[in-house]
Amino acid sequence: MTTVAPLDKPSVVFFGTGPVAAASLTLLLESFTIEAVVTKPNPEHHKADAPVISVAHLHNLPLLFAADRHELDQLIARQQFASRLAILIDYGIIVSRAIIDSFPLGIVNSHFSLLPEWRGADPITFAVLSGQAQSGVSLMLLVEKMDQGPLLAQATYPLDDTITTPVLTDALIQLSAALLARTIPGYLDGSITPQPQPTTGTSYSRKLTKADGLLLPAEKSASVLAREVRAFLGWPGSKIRAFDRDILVTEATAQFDASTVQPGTITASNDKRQLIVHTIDGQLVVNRLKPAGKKEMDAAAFLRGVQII
Amino acid sequence: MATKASIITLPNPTLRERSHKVREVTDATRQLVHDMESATLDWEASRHHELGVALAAVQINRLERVVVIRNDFEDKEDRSFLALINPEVIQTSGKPEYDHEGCLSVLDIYGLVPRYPAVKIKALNLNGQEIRVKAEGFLARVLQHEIDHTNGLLFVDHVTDKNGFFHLNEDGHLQAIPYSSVEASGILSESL
Repeated sequence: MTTVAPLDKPSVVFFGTGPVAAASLTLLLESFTIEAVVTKPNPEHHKADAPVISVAHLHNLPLLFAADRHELDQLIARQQFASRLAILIDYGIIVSRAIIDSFPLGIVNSHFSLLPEWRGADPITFAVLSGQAQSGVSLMLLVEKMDQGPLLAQATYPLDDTITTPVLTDALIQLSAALLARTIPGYLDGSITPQPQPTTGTSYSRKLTKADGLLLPAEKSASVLAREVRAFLGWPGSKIRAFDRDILVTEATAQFDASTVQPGTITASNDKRQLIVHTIDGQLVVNRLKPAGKKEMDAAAFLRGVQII
Repeated sequence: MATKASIITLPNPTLRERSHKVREVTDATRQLVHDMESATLDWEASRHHELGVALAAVQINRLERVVVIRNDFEDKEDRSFLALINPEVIQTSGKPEYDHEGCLSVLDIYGLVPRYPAVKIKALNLNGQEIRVKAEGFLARVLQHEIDHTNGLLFVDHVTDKNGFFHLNEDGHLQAIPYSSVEASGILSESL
């Protein structure tokens, strides 16, 4: 009797450091042979392994460490990889031309937006913040100019007005792994050739700061604030002071009832089930929140615990 | 020494004959087993996307009830086999399940074949001692396929659906093929 042999998986080197890299690496193991994992070393004083390092240990993948660009150049100069290309996701170090060139077919970066939209450090958050109807994943060959490399493939993902950054992140990790699995074989055999990015529609994302996490109802519209709550969920969060307590708003919707209440004021809804944050053009209706130092709860539970005058 | 050229393929009518019982396990039996193993390995070396997982003696044109089964079904590097002399199924369990099967004597065609998920068999080993094997899953399937050979049956005789035939393409993927082309190939003993 005969049986069909498992198909040879393409061999790649994986560059990645953060949690998105770790989740992606796990999924990529189904479709690729990972020759080596290049990652940042565990930060000092961290006892537990970083997520990528744990995944690599779990699957017995060879690990290579570089803490910065300089160490990376030295590390790669010493290596002789059999893989013709590398995949880079959520890596955290800008790689030099020499490293890209050390792979005959270059380095494929999975960028979590439809390039040239949202180039830069935080494409997912900015897509949620913009309120756009779709986002997606782009597979791009790394070039020295940030996020400007030619595209191998893109896949779209629809966004609705409940999407949050953590939910979209998980969805795009899955989409990215599937897109890599079906695109890389074609790139290796020459049937998929890189195409330049469109020259219009370019936008840029940036790293968020703690200051982004302050809700400013006296300055912004209710719909922008509702998008901020969904976009900043996880980090930096959406912080405001309500009834003399610092809270993080975790779930809220916009409403546009006529009102004479001063923007920036916070009240309780008549049924005491929601917090109403009055904005310049309407209300941010808060359904769930996390008081400082406490667990996330319904607004109703929070309101039961405060004196409403 | 036996090579892949020793392997006979459908529509060779010998494959539909019952094999004879081995009366005594001798050096000649051990030589036959050795020939079967080398024919399987030589065949496998010529195939890109397939593993030769087992062979019955009839497939190298020897009508003896002898089968060899690869010890590792996934690792091409493991070239060791288990030899079974006069194997027979003594018990089946479960409801037949469908999966793809191919055969060194049916070139490039795969079929969806129902097999019992678990079987017990008895046989002689190469020292002539009786052994019993309990198998489930893929090993159970392989044993049923090989014991069928000793009775003149092939997997194509068990395909129950006209859409149950597949061709292994150059990429190593199975693609459904029209029943008419299977019929035209002359590998079926009777039409569905």
